Amino acid sequence: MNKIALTAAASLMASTAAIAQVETRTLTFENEGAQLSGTLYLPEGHDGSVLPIVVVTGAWTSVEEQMPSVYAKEMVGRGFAAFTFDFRGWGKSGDLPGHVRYAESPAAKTSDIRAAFEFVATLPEVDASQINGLGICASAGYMVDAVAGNDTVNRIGLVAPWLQNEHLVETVYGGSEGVAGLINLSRAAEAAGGQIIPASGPEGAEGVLMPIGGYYYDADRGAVPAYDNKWNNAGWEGWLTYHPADNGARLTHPLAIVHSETAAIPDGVRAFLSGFAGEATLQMLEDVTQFDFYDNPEDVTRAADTIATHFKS
Amino acid sequence: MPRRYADIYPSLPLLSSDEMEHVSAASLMSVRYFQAEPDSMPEEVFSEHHVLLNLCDTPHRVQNRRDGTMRDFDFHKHEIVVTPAGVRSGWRWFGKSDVIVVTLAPDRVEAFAQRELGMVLDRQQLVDLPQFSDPDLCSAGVMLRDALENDDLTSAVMFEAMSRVFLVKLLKRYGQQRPEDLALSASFTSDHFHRVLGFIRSNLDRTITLDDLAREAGISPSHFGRLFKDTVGDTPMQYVLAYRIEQAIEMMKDNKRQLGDIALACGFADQAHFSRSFKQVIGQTPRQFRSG
Repeated sequence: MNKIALTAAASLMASTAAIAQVETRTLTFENEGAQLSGTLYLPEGHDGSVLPIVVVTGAWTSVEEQMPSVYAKEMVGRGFAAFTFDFRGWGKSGDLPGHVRYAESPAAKTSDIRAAFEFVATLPEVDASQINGLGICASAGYMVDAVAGNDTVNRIGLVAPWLQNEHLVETVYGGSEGVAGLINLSRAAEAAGGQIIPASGPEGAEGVLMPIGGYYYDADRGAVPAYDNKWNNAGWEGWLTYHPADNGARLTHPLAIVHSETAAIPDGVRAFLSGFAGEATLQMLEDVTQFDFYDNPEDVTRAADTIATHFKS
Repeated sequence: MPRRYADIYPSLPLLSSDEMEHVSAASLMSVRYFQAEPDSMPEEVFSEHHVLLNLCDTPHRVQNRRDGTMRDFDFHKHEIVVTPAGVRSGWRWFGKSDVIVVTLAPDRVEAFAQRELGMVLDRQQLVDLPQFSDPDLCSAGVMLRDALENDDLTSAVMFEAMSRVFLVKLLKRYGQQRPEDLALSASFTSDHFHRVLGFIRSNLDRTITLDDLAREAGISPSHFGRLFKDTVGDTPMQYVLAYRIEQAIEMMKDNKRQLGDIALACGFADQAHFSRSFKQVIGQTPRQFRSG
């Protein structure tokens, strides 16, 4: 051992003392006849007393080991239990009807989130009067729809929400012609029983859903072994005709949103909030990209602080 | 002028921690191991607390002159003599010694006791309890000695944990504790800690749970978690994370070794988990750290 190593040792131990550690348990639950695989996160050494809980959901194509796991741990560090799961058709969970996998289905995902809320309410570790929902990216829209009119849930938080309406869909996906083309592709893929392409690829790749490198492509970030890295073209129509930015009026639960002008379609947040009449907290961070919100420790910490404060109100 | 013990030892220690510069528990103590032929140390006043741990199986005669009073006694295995800083003290021993000597910087020990254990340590408390028998504390000392001896096997994070075990067990001798807390602490011995730290070392590349460690220690997970944190300062899993990061840094010195391979070898679920944990703790990603 040398001096630097020993000095570093005490610093290391002081640093890790500031990071709450979690215990996890794999649990399964059912929805519409399929079995879903999820993970319950509790504080290290938890004594079995009931805790408020946050159900955390992630981006399109994602699995629970990606950004949901990151935020679940953050919530546990702030006094909550947390629950993540793989949506039907993804990761370790069962298929969508017709043995369909890797299709981004807003209706199915929304239904899965509702089922998750009902499931966590039955857990002995959970205070069923304090159930919260945290949706990240694409699942923000699903989370809103799952929470709206849902008495099981107390509060909702959205981080880096992807909230689109018809105008934004056309802006992002190549105008009305681009959208129509993708919908045709979707129908053809559905008729063929599914057409699978890679979800992520390096910048400029062809035949890939996200040819941009970064989070989903980088082994240091989201390209974890559990990641399917698949996209079923049969999912395009469901996704492109889903307009969560128009759904603000449906929600009455207290809401917190953390986003950034540098992240995906901030106009969607504004459109959503223009329809929302309830209690809302909005934190717009600066220079935080969409992918930063998924795993960059400083940005995750700030987003988690805001969301946890909201859930404790 | 109070002197330092290292200045006047009649023989060189077999092992010493003096070369190590560090903070927290390990930083305020020096550990030396002696197997010395009969000899003596002249009377001096020292600036450090001196803790003498006897490992010798055979009782042997020793003389200790302390502030003018001579004590001539048989020194038994596991007996510990504490000489506070500022006491004029000299020794003579008549048989081959087998001792671990731990010297402590008084100011820093008092700060440690206050900050880490919430206890006020007064010099008079050390004066009032100069000698006692404590096999467990000797066992903690042996753990430190063996760590020094096996330098290439010992991690700095593990040495810090071992130092804390020793220091906390020593200081609790002088604190006010409820009988039930004392009994609980006593049930978790240095040997248990040693087994737990050994388990962590042996299972670095695997998932380690609180239940695993508690089983190794032979006590319930909730008691284990509390006792571990009270002593080491980190919860068990926080400590495991510190150790994983430390070992990863060591492996990263081999520039040809892939980060993904290092992640798995250090028990991270995948490279992303490693990268994120590393950045949380160190403030840089492994890639940035390696190129820096």
